[in-house]
Formats: sequence, structure tokens, C-alpha cells
Amino acid sequence: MLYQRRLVIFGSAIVLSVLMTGAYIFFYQFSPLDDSQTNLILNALTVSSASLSFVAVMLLVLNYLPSDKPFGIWVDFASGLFMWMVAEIVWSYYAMSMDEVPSPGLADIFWVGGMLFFTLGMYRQYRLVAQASPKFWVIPLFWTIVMIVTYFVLLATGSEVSSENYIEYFYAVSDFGIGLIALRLLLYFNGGVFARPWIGMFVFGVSDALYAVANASGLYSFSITTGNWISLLVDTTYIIAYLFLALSFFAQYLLLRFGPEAFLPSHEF
Amino acid sequence: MVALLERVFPEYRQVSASQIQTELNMFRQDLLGGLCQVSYPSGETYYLFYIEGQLIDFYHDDLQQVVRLENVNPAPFFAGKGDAQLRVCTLSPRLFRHLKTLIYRPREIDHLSVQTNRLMAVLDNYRKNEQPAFVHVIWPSAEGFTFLPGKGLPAREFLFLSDSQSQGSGLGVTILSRWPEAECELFYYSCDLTQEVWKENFISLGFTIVFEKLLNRYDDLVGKTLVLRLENNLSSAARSQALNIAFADKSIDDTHTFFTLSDAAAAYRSLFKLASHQMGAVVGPRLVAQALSDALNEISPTIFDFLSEKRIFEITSQ
Repeated sequence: MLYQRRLVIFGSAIVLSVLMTGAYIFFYQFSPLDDSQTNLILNALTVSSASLSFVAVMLLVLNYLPSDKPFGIWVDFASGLFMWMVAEIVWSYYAMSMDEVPSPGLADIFWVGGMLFFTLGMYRQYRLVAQASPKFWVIPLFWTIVMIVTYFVLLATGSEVSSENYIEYFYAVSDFGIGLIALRLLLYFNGGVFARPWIGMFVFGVSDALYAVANASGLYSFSITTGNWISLLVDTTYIIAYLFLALSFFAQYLLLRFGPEAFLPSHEF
Repeated sequence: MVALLERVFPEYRQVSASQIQTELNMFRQDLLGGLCQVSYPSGETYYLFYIEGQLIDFYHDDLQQVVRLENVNPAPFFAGKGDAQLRVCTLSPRLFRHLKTLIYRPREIDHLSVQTNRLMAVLDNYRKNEQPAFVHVIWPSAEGFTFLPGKGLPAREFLFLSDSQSQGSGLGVTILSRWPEAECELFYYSCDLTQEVWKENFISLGFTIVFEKLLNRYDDLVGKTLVLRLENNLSSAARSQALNIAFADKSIDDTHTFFTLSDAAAAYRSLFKLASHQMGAVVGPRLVAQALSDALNEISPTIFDFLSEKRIFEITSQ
């Protein structure tokens, strides 16, 4: 009975995610309303998807005891996703009220801050699963490497060395790096419900990698102008990444709430 | 062999063969539990262990060897054997394995007179030995028993008997050092896998030690909520199989008495299978396998080999 109940609840969450993604694609590609209204809806959907992932991870945090070792991991992720949610709100406000969003700007502070929290959470998680104690300096080392690689990627693409371009590639490189760490953690938890949040983080890495490739090749700006499928694919994977993350946190919340019996058919339990 | 429970149950009665039968029938009819000891002038002794009126174990010690008697109806068994000394010890089944270990006359490695306040230090020293062992501590009016699993692991299944606690109690081993009598005799016995009772000891000790380590590791990974769910599910499964095994606070209270070693192995195997399946659904089979491997590496190789032979902790793919 718990299994069926969990299926219904989680199924409803998947339906909501599919509807949000479908709405995003519809308004992005067909723009049935005027530009300002379309932008409002698209930005609202992006902010909503970011908010859902924050709400989902908070459900997780609230169902752990502070003395539990995983508690700190999800507090870090909640902090990170809160910052990303704020970043999306700030960016959307800029996008709808200004001709050009300042880059780097206030939103970037929150995005970068969020990433710092993610690496902290992943560091805690890695220590727990690997039963290893890497020194804390690996976190600043990781970010130092990301910043250096970003610079060289910028040079390699032949883009102008500006703060705006640097921050664009910084997100792609850092998300890719975080995605690789997430993949490593995913391998530890492979086969278990606890693997799902790491799949979500990995999907973010893929999403930003797609954006980086499209942006570097000029295809993204060309696609925006001509309205072809490339920018649609890139921007849609971004919202899908948020929703996927939300679903993965939600799945773990349902696990805490209903127990593993909700994830195993009764004949296996 | 050290006299068993002489401090706590010193009373013997001279009885005839028919009186022995009456006493044993009373045990059965009144659903009593404990140990009946029947000793003959020749020196041979019979030990009968009862739980709720049911005969669990029946041993014959003829001073040369100890033999477990099976499929024997005890009351008529004593019919033609003449007068004997009878002692009835009302005991918790928790004590049975400890007493059976002594009945089998384990090899005594060490015998010390120890100050009670130094007892924990002595046990800590013995604990570091690689091989599992059994320790029996005797005061003028109390006795204590505990197993040392070897390889530095803490003492397990500590039980204590005194005039006021004749049922035995599962208190922490540190109570030994707080007993008011200042001096005690300590007997340190080696394990012996040729004796059936040591196989029982190993399977029970090995299961609880490894499983508790698994639960602790699972708690590290998932937190108390999911550990509590797992423990509830395991306790429920044990109850459904009529096993006196309870899971709580990341520890196992195993007071079940199995009729055969195969029964024990099958029960433990099914509980582990349930746990590994549920843990695997949560954290993935790789982490479960790693946790199990780490736990098995921490136990004595002797117990490890025995558990492997009985295939208690086999992980099968789901």
C-alpha cells in the first residue's frame, strides 16, 4: 500500500514537472503572447523550477535530525539552492526590466555562492561514503583549478577576454567539474534511492556543458536570433535540470517519510 | 572443571529415580525454565536445559567426555538409574550458552586471582588477543560470564548472577568492577570449534557483531530515521518467525535458543537478506557490500571462517 501511495505522489510530481517543461517549450518556441508576457512566463517557470528544487531539498533537511551525519550535507545544498533561487529571481528581474542583464552582476554573486555551498556539501558526502578524510583545502584547490581552466578555455575558444565572457565559461567549467564529482558520488550510491540527487547534479553539469558548447560556437546567439531548436534545447535542459534535481530530492524525502518499503513492491519486502 | 553456579545455587537434594521423573514432569507441565542437574555417585552428571517446559538441550558428562543426547525423553530415561543428587537452577535462557560452554570443559588458558577493581583492566588486556575466548569470574557470592570475540573487540553477552539477581541480567560488563566483594577468581578459556557449543557461540556472536557494525555504518550514511525503520522491520520479521531477536538502538538483543545450528543459520541468513535488500534499495548494493566487507574484516578470522562456511552474510543480487 505504501508502494502504491508513493507511486501516486511521486507520479504527480513527475506530471507537474512534465507540464512545466511542456509549458516552457510551448511558450519558448511558439510565443503565443507578446514578448513581455512570454518572457514573464518563461522567467516565472525558471524561477519556479529553481524554487521547487529548493523546497524539495528543504523537505529533506526537515526530515533529518541535526545529529544525523547527512544533515549537514543537505543543509549545504539547501543553502546553495536558496542562493540559486535568489539568483534566478534577480536575473529574471534584470531580464524583464533592462535591455541587457549586467554580467557579471548581482545574480552571479548568488550563483557562485551557491556553487561554493554545493562543493562543501559534496565534500561532506564524499567523506561519508569513501570513509576518507581529504583535507579541507581540496575545496579551494578545486575552485582554483576551475578558475585557471576557465581562463584557458576562454583563450582556446578565441573569445574576447572580458569579465562577461569569463563568467559565462566559469559556469560551464564549474558545473562540469561539479558534475564529475556528482558522477563519482553517483557510482557509490548506484542502485539506491540516495543516488538520485547526484544524478540531478550531473544533469546540471551536462546542461551547462551544452550551453558552453553552443555559446562558444556562436550557435546559441544565432539560434536565439533565428528561433531554431538549439537555444530551445539548451534553455530547456536548464529547466529540466532544476526539475530533475527537485524530483531527486523529493524521492529521497519520500524515502525518509515512508521508508524503503515504499520503494520495494510488497513481494520483495 | 570449575563447579558451576555453586555460589548461587548451592542446594542439592538427594532424590530417587521416581522423584527425578516427577521433578522433570513438573518442569514440563508447569512450563518452567532453567537448568536441572542430576549427579550420580559415580561422578557422571546429566544437564537438562528447559525453556517454558520444553527440553532444549540434554547433556551427559561421564567425566571423560560430554555428549549431547538427542531425541531422548528425559523422564523415563532416568527410570532405572537409581538415586542421585538433584539441583534445580531457575535461570534465564540468556545464560544457557554460557553454561553449556562451561559444561563442555573448555581448555583453561589462564586462572587468576584478581582484585575486583582491576578486573576491567585484566579483561581489556585479554580482549586484545586474536582468538575468541570465554571468561568466567567467580566471587564468594556471585558469578559473571562473558565472551571475548577476539581481535580487540569489546566483551559481549555479559551475564551476571548473584543471590539477588539469580536470573542473570544483560547489564554492561562494567558492573563487574562495581561488585562489592573485593577479590575474585578469573578463568580464561579458549574457544574450540570441535565442540558444538562453540559453533553456537560463534554463529550468535558473529551475527550480532557484524550486523551491529552494519547498522552503525548504515546510520552514518542515512541517519536515524531510516535506521529506525529498518530495525522495526527486522524486529517485526523476527517476531513473525517466532524468534526472540530484537533490533533497537543499532544493537541486537538475541535471546533466542535454536534447536539446531542449521535453524540458527537459516534464521540469521533470512534476517540479513531482508536487511541487505532494504539497505541496498536505499544506498545501493555497492555500499552495503563495502560495509559488510569492512565489518567482516574487523572480526576474528576464526569467527569469519565459520560465518563464511555457514554462508550467513551472503549477498545475492536482487
